[in-house]
Amino acid sequence: MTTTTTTTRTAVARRDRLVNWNKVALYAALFVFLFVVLSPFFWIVKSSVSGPDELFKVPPVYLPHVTMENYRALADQVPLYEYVRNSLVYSVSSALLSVSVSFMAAYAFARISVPGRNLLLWLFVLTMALPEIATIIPLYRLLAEMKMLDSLIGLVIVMSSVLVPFTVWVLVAFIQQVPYEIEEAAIIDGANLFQIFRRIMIPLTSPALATMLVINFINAWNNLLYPLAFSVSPKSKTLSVAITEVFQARSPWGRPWNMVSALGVAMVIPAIILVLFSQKAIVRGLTRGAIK
Amino acid sequence: MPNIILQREPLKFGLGGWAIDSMTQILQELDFTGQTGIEVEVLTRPGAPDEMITQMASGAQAGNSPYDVIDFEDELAVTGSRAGWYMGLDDLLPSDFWDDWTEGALGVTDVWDRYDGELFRIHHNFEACYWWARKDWFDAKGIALPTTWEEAAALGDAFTDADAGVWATEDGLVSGGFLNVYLAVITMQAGGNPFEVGDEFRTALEYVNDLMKSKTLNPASLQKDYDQQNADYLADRVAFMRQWPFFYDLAHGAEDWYEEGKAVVILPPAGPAGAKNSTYAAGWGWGIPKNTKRGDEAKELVKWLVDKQNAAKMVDYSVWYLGARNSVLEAANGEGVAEYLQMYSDAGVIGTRPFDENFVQASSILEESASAYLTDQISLDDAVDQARSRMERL
Repeated sequence: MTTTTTTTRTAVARRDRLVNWNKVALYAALFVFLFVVLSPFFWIVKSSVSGPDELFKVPPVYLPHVTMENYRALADQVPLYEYVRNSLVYSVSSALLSVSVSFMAAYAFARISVPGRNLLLWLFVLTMALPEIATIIPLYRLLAEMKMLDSLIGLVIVMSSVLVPFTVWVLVAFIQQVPYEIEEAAIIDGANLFQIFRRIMIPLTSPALATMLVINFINAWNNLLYPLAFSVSPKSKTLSVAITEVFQARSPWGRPWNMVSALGVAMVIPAIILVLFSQKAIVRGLTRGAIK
Repeated sequence: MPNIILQREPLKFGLGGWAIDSMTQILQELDFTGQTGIEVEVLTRPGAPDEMITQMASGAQAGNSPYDVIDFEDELAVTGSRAGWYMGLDDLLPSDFWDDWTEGALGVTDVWDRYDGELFRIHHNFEACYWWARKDWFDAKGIALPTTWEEAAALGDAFTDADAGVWATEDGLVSGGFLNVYLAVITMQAGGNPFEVGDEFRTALEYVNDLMKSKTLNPASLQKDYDQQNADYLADRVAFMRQWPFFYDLAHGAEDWYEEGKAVVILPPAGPAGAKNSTYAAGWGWGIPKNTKRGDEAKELVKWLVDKQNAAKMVDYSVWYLGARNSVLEAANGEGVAEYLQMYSDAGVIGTRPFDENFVQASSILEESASAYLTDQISLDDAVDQARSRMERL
């Protein structure tokens, strides 16, 4: 009896030690992960509040004398208010337009049975493989013909068209998981397509829609190529283009990394806020379908 | 008398962000619109050549142009002229136009601003690599400022204290454009053009390697850009260095640090080829994209910008318009960087920047070979052979 109790205690102690070691390993891995992820962010924030003379000091200065001079200089150099406003309009509009259009296209792909539907969907998705740079010239011609160069509307249309294939691809899978019987019941009760969308499909696929809105917003927010190629004036340039415009002293030589960092911080803050506020919806959208 | 042209939309004039305020002021105060009836919208173009080429290429390929007049650098000059982006400018200029230009600037124009005999860019500035020295350090040690390669190479013993991070000289030599600039200057001092990969290129590489091995040139220069190099100079870690004119503003702006004697400009240490053409000037200039829909108005603007009286007045607004034209140098009156440009011009040390038809690719080839040699990965023979064979295949 005593032997059995001792053996059991030893086993429990061993298990506890193992659990403790597992925890230590888990926390160590978490620490390493956080360090890798957060250290560049720390560095960019640190650089954004450092004077130019502190940026390249050896040994490095980890806790600089905080100055907001970089942000002030940045606001002097580029029309920051216009660029932030344009970035918001561009990103929000592109996200909304792409998700709205994609939702309807995905519904059609998921529900309407036509010969070659899957092939069509794959062809649609295949357009994602086209590198952005390869589409610049035809898009430039198109926007020029439509008198939409250097305009936010033109940029939103172009960006939305780029975001739609991936969004459709994701949403088709979600819509297919919603049992068609629910829609049939609604139709029997006299619901039209608009009501089905509003009362059934949108609520049931909302985690996916929210996820795609956030992802598309961030994609548009970070996009440089289209605003760079199609915009020349502050009425349509975005924050990402501002990075190509900040300068040092009175010449093109050198890069003002302190100001580039300040701009980087200004750019990343809206994305962080958005992700924090929509975290739950994103996790739901990424981890499960609509209903089972 | 300029033509009076009525128009609805303003002319789009693309300049680097650093030139926006001064140009806006110039156009207003010298009354361009009042004289010509042409409204101008001054726009910020991307500062770096890669992004500008992306922007210009998409417009040009689509038969359009984002700007009607642009201010552009050497990289864009080579790429754009070979791609047929720019309008010819010869017919804009009065017959005595070039009489106002210094010999050095004319040489640069012939090489960098003409293609197939046609002028496509008119320089408005002339930025030489200058040598800046800590005269206070030299005086304190009783050492003369270096005038030759040999004298410069001997300064490691006098100034370098690697443990304290202090070096006789340092440069911004990171690959991707920086190293190429230095190779061009040093090869010029050896008497050649790096793109020809001749004996002068070999001599230049060997000299740079010797500077590093003798602890005169900080080997970490190969990982530094101009910002880091300037930061080291302002942190009292460098006795003398080569740098572009923007260091003048940085040095004078560092109020806690700046004193007379901490950043004096000296002539480049002469190499085997002597003092003549021992540095070069890069420059920016005005041009008109061929696909602009407003060619006539754009020509009026460029004519106005390069007009002798206007160009001389523009230098009062910013050193960015300090070109090597006699009228401009006279107007600058030897103040600020103009003093150094005059000094270098008078000494005849400003040569023409080495040129290659495939400038960007050729620069990468030279940088790769030089970098491999200077980091002891390959021998000098291999570096030269490799660069030569790759240049031949280009």
